[in-house]
Amino acid sequence: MLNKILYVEDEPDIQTVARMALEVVGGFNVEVCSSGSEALEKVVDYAPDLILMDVMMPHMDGPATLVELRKLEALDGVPVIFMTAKVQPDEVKEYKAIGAVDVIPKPFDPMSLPETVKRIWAEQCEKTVC
Amino acid sequence: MPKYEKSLIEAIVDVGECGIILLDESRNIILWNSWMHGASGISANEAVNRPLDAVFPSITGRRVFSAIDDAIRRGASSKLSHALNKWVFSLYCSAGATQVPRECMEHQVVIKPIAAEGGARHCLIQVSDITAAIKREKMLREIAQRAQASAKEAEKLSRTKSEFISVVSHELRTPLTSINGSLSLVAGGVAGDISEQGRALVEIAMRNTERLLRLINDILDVAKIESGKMNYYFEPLKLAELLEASAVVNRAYADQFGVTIEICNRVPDVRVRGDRERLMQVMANLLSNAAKFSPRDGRVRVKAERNGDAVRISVSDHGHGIPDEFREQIFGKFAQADSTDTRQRGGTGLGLNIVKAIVQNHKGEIGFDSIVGKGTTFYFDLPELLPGLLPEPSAASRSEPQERADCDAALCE
Repeated sequence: MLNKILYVEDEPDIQTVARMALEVVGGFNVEVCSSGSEALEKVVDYAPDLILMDVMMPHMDGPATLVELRKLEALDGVPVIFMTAKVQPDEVKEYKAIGAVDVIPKPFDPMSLPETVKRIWAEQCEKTVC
Repeated sequence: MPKYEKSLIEAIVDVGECGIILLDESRNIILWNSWMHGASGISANEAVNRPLDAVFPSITGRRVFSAIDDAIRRGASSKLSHALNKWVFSLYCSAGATQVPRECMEHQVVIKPIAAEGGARHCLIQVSDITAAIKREKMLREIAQRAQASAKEAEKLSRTKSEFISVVSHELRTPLTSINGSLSLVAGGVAGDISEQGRALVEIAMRNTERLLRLINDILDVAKIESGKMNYYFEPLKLAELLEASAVVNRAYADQFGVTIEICNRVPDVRVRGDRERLMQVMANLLSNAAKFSPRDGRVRVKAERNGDAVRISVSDHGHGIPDEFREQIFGKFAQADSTDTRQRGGTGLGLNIVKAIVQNHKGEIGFDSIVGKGTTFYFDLPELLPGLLPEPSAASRSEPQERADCDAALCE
């Protein structure tokens, strides 16, 4: 069951919108981080089922954070989804090459965001038989 | 040889476009032609019978000096490389010029031994003016450097431009993401029940946010097109599948106007080489235009057929047609027949401009036929991808468009 989501986004307003969508509409348990380094600090203790992450963030961007996350053994098999406006085919290819399972384009519709996340998670489960 | 041998030789020596000096075995000057006079300012009378190093004291100890020695003692020829032997002699350009100081002549020196009477060896020195060639070479080097510099500059400018587009794109979309998201949550009742008026207002805000987003996307597309930064990802595409997908994606929009989309595909097996996303954008533009300018409960027909070597895709509506005076500007920017259309119908006025650029990038052509009061057909031609150029499609993927062709046949008039 998908329950705990770690959400990484530097823009506070988008944070609020997405968090409300995931908590109120989706009924998930959400931990929000405002930067890649905060995510790396919290992720092991929080032990999320899934990570949703922005791409363009100051200091450490989404892809750089993902590379660091992948080094943590405790996170083996935890899918990471990028949420970004940068969705040119070659960009998407690059995200997937470094281990993102999917990309949700921005602007996103918060009402359908939980369903989209659930669908990606289910697809991922089928692949890895979880 | 005629009797006037000596005067003939003197004449030949003097007409040449180079300097000639003849030295005896003790390096004394025997012959000094008029070219040497012009270039050095020293006449034959002044030079002859004097040692060469007395006339040009600067040659002592230089390579030219040992080369002359080698010619006289060992019979060796040499050509002094210009790069290592600059200004061997004190020579000046444009003999007789009044310009002061006179320009130094770049020259090349060749040294040859000459067998003289009694087994002695004399030395012939030939001097050529290469000032023009050196100047030309320098100029070419400068031009090449300048070209390199301006290419670098252009590359930098183009990088700045794409960075700008990328930053603007991110900066504009970020606030819109939260605006649109907040409104969508409010409309979805996540923040509690809202009154009917509240809902109407939120819907206005949402509709206009979406319009603003479309406008931003279109402006960014135009900026990308104009700076040559529009990226294309070409791949073989099944045309039938592309048309089906475009009808599905745009159905909800057409529904708003009570308009149905029909597909009539006469070339169900055709493939084209294209960028799927961009061609979907072309279809979305043509379909949304057709839908919003259709009468209520109208039909929009998408047709695909062969047109010579190409495939023609057309989108027809039964709308009020394009007025004559507007036809010229239809593919221009911010082009709408009636400026109130922008407000009433929610277009950006950039769509067809972008569509044309995308079609042209697919080596295609776009055009339209329109009869006022009857309707409009926009069409574009794409080159067909011939079956020999790609792997054979599997049986399963092949059967699907064939079935569709049969059921659509009734729709094709």
